Amino acid sequence: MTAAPLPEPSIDWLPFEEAKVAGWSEPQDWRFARALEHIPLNDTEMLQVSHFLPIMVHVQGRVVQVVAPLKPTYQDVRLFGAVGQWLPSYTPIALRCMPFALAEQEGEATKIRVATNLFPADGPAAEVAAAAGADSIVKVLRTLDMVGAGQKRLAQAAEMLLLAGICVKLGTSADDIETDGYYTVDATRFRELPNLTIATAARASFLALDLASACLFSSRLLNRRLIRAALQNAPDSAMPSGGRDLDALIRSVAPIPVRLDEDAKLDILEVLSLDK
Amino acid sequence: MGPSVDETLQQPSPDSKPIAESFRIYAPIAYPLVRTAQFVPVVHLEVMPLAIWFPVIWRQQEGGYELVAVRSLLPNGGGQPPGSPRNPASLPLVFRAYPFCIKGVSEEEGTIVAVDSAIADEPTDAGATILTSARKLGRGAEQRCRALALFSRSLPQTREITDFLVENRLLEPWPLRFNLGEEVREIDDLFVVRPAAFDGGDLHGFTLRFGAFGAHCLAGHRLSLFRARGLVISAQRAHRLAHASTAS
Repeated sequence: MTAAPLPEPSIDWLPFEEAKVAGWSEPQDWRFARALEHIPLNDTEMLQVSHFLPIMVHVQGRVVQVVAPLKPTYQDVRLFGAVGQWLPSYTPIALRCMPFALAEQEGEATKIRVATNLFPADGPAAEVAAAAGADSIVKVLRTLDMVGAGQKRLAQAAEMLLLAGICVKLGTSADDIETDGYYTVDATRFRELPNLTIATAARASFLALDLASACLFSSRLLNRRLIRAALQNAPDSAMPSGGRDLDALIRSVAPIPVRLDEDAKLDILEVLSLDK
Repeated sequence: MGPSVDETLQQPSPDSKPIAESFRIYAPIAYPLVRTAQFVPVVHLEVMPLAIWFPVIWRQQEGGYELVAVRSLLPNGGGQPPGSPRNPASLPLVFRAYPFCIKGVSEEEGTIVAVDSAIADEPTDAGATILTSARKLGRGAEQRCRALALFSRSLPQTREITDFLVENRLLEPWPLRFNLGEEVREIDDLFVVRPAAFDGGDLHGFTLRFGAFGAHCLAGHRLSLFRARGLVISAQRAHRLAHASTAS
């Protein structure tokens, strides 16, 4: 069964101070997430998320974020069950915090905003748990604070990959000069980086290299049409990230040379032996 | 100890005819070893592709540390992740090459390739001879020889990676404790790269030596650990089913 068609929601964000939220409870129906283009990731969950959703670098003006796309334009994953349940076996932290989110802004102290219209007013998620509510909000604000720090570390890792010149933009043609958009890692460019570049990226933390590999590992979850249209370079099998790459690599390898012995009495174990 | 490819190599029947023309090989999945091995040795190039399915980690044995895919938590290989081992993409290289195996490497003869004479007890096809009537390698045999070539070509670097991690004390034990019914089981010979090494600069030397290939392998190893929980669930399910069938 597929999810019942819902009109695509849009989001009205309000600063936390103005939203006057008394409390909130975890939603049963996660289809509100269809209103989101992507969900920003925390550094501690990035590897886990890469098993379920593609990992991308999102660039918008001066803001760089590591995100998992939610729109089917970008990914091929079935996210919602028949009654709106979240299907992947892991829910990204920022999604669990909805309708609260970090305001997308540069530099300043953490600012929280609230998607006031996101949960339908008559839906169970909109129930305000008055007493427990205060506690749950304190908890979610604390989580968002932590997520803010993690996102910043991931953004710095993404900047390293952009600096190293190994990112390619998705969903555009080669002559597109617009820089805003989603980027993934090009396997060939990554593979060809000098060891010194790789080691420099790993000098303080392995996060940038984890990110590069997570982008490649999760690329199998990208929308297929998008991959064909957007990646100028064919997937690189020399450093495989998925089963298809490995299949291609096996096909490209010369068979181990065998010498077949004509002696009928030979031990079956010796029947094939390699020429020196 | 899990079965190793070597242990299952069997002696031939005394009346072997020209083996390459009479002996039939079947799809890897037709052989019991391919279906039931718990730990399978792998090379660094397949860590990332296999991370979709299994934890890929180091296992300490008498001969030292070996990079392996943990396909199951049960010694009989039961409770593998959904799709394994039927989906060919879930098969590590040594099993894509099976029943061809590397018997050893000698000065005189180079790498010795052998054919395991194990019985294909669950054939899914009619099988094929190793050589065609034109005395060329058949398609199935050729494909296996490619997989084996890739494995054998990559093994020295995989061992270098392992040796470096051991010598620089970058591995630490990763005891895998889980419940099977009332019983608590533990697999205690598994090792992972110390998580703290990823947060500090401890992998600088490693990355300087092994570059992007080494980094991709370690990231794959780390990613693959998230498959452990699924293995526990699958093992518990397999245990419950086995228990239910013996009880009834």
